[in-house]
Amino acid sequence: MTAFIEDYGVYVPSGRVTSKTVSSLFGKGLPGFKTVSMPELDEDSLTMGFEAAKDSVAKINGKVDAIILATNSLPFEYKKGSSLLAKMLKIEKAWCLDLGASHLASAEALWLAAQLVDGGKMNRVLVIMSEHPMPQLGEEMDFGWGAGAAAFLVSSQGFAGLNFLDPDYDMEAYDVWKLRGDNKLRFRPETLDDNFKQAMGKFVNSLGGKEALKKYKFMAMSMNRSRWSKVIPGAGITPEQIDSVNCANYLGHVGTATLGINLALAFDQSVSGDTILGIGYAHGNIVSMEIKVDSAPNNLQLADSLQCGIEKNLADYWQAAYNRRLRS
Amino acid sequence: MSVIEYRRTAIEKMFLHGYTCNECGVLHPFWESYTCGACGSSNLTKTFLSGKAKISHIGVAYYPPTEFKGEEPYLLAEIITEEGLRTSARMVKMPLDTLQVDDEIKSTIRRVKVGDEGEIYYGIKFDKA
Amino acid sequence: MPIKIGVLGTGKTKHGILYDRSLRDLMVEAGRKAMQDAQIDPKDIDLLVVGNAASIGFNSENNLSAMIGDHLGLVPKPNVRCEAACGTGGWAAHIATLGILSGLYKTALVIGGEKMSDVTTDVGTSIIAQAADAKTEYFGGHTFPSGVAMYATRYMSRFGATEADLAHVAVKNHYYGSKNPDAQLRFECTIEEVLKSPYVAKPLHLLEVCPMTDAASAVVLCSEDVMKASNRPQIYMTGTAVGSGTYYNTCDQLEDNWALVKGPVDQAYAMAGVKPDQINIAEIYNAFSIQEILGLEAAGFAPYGEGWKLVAEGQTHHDGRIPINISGGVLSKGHPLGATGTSEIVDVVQQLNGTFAGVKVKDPEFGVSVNRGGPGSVCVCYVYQRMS
Repeated sequence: MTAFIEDYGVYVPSGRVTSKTVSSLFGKGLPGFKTVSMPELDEDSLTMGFEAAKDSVAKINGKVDAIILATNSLPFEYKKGSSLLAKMLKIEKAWCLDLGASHLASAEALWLAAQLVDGGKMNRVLVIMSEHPMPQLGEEMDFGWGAGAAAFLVSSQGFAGLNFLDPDYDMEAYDVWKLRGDNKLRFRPETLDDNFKQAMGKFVNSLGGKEALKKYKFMAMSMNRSRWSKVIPGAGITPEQIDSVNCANYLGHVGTATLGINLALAFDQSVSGDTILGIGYAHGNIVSMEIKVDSAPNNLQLADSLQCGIEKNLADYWQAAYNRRLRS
Repeated sequence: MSVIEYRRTAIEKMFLHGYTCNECGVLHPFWESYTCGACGSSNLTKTFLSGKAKISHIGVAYYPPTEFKGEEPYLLAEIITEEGLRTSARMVKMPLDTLQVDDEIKSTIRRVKVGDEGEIYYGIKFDKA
Repeated sequence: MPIKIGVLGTGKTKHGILYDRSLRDLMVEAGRKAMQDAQIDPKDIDLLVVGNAASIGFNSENNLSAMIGDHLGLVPKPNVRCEAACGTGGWAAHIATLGILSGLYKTALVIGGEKMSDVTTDVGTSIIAQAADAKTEYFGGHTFPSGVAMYATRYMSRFGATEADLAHVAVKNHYYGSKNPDAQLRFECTIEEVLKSPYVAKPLHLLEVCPMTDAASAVVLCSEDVMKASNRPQIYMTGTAVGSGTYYNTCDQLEDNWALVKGPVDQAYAMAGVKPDQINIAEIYNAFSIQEILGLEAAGFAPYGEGWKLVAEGQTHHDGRIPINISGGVLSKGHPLGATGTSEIVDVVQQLNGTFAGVKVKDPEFGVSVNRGGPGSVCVCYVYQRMS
């Protein structure tokens, strides 16, 4: 292994919205999540990415050669985000890359960072995954969008080594998509669930079957939909491997950041010698990595802080989710 | 506010800074950037601050300007930075009774407002330390 | 009876679209330059007068004199801001003049400044239109160029001048602008090029209309005793007058435009004890070419209706009978609303003391500046004399 995780950070807003609150608005609650995380009006994917990364970056005085921002919810449809984030973090003279288009972007960003660090082309790459929900009316019932960000410093040394498996882009399918010029996010729940089942089945087979999964302490995944948990036992993944690294239950669908937050939860609980399987997923495609923990990282005690939050009422939720300034 | 002004000023708004007079060494708040009020010199250098501060005065806004409508009520404060500068501060969203005079705070970055041409200004807000 | 207001020092920024300079950057630069030229310490300035026409619209900021007083180290001396549309700069200097003549103040720093490029052109046009009757006359889409175009049309009809005749003003001004390193537009042009340039408001072509500009200019004025005690070139304002005209474009007919300048310039001449034929250098407000023609006629340099001939014959060139707008005028310098009046003062004084950076007039002794504003609502005039 030539690329390692040197440091990591997570930021999730403290606001939490319950299924009951969503139901009081739409007559139907969150899709299988207890709560979702709610940002304040003055937060967005860039500010949350900043919060996730700032401590790690400060420790190394901003000495980063590239910053890769993985997000599908930039404040702009047409303007760069990574270079602005670099300025916020006081990172100078770094390549600034924006990756998006699907929730696979976070796994792809980690892969790209590993390639850049491999062979010493670059010393350090900062990967930030961040999502800021901007739902159309009613999407909460189907997706349960949440807000949050995770950041990883990928470098030539660190507490955990990255080893990427072959990606699987074979399936070409529409399950959740949005056309340019359309406001509405389109989806078919049938393909959304079946694609995941098919992709996971194929993936597990490619590893050598369910037996091959036993060596992994944790399976940190883009587990963005609670219905996908039905696929998990059949894929050979145990509750011990996934339950404690599944943030969607209390944060909701955090897009690209789900994988990052779940990886961070796994690091928090890992000891030297553990191997974590990270699975990025979207549209029936998978980008995966084995992460071998060499030494226990700093424990951010994320599980406790992420599950606790401040319950938000309907008026605050409506304002934040739809950016309607109520008291005007 | 306009995108032209954004290009001039947007980045420096994200970092707490002052101006140090190169003649007499006095540190001034960021708006005293042309002339040193202590010795009259025009030779000043931008100095970044740590972001740590203490609350000196605190208040709540209930009738905001246009660009902040819907955010009220929000916490505003006069603060004294770790370096001894007095400056104004906007808090991140928090329950209104979270902070008292003399509480320690630290700076972070949040969206501040959207300008007349849709340019988003990110700037300094303060959170409990 | 001449007044004796000493012009101790002058200073100005470049005129242009200066995206990287803020309004306060420009005004501080001009103010500092003027004080340095005057060899005066900020603490010896008794009064600050700031001229700015529309900072609330262009720059979302207000209370400018307090801001600049702070930045230039002039606190706790008094400061005030003045607004009179395009006549702002001239009026700002007039306020300072009144303060010195009253005996309350010995010295005054006058800074005119405007920063117009922060907003888009259409927004700028709306802001400028508010200097006329925005609620009724301009409510339906009038603009300043269209108002000026109307009296240009009447001038041409009454006196037989053609568009080509008026174009001589633009050709002359752009020639001198090309030689002025501080001007915004620094190109020469021919009559044909002026006539081929698109109409802004018929019959005024693009090259006959001033651009929006960012700039600041400043002067330090003082009482006679302060001037005499200094080692500065002894240049004085010896006459000044202000007149008002109409706020309403419909009333701003051709004759009103002539009368707007004639009244105060005659008063200023009378105060200074000079006649038009003694004047060696004039800066006459010319945001539109027709205004230079009307202004020079009202200032007594040509009979009413024949001013365009003077320009066409080269009589207003630097070596002509009466050099007018050898800075390139507002047409080339651009029109930074609040700074145009002060820039006229600076340019006349710099011609009188031989420091003007563009084409110099040979050995001038007497000067005049005419700063009009609004839709014909204000005119501020100064007569200057270089004394030994």
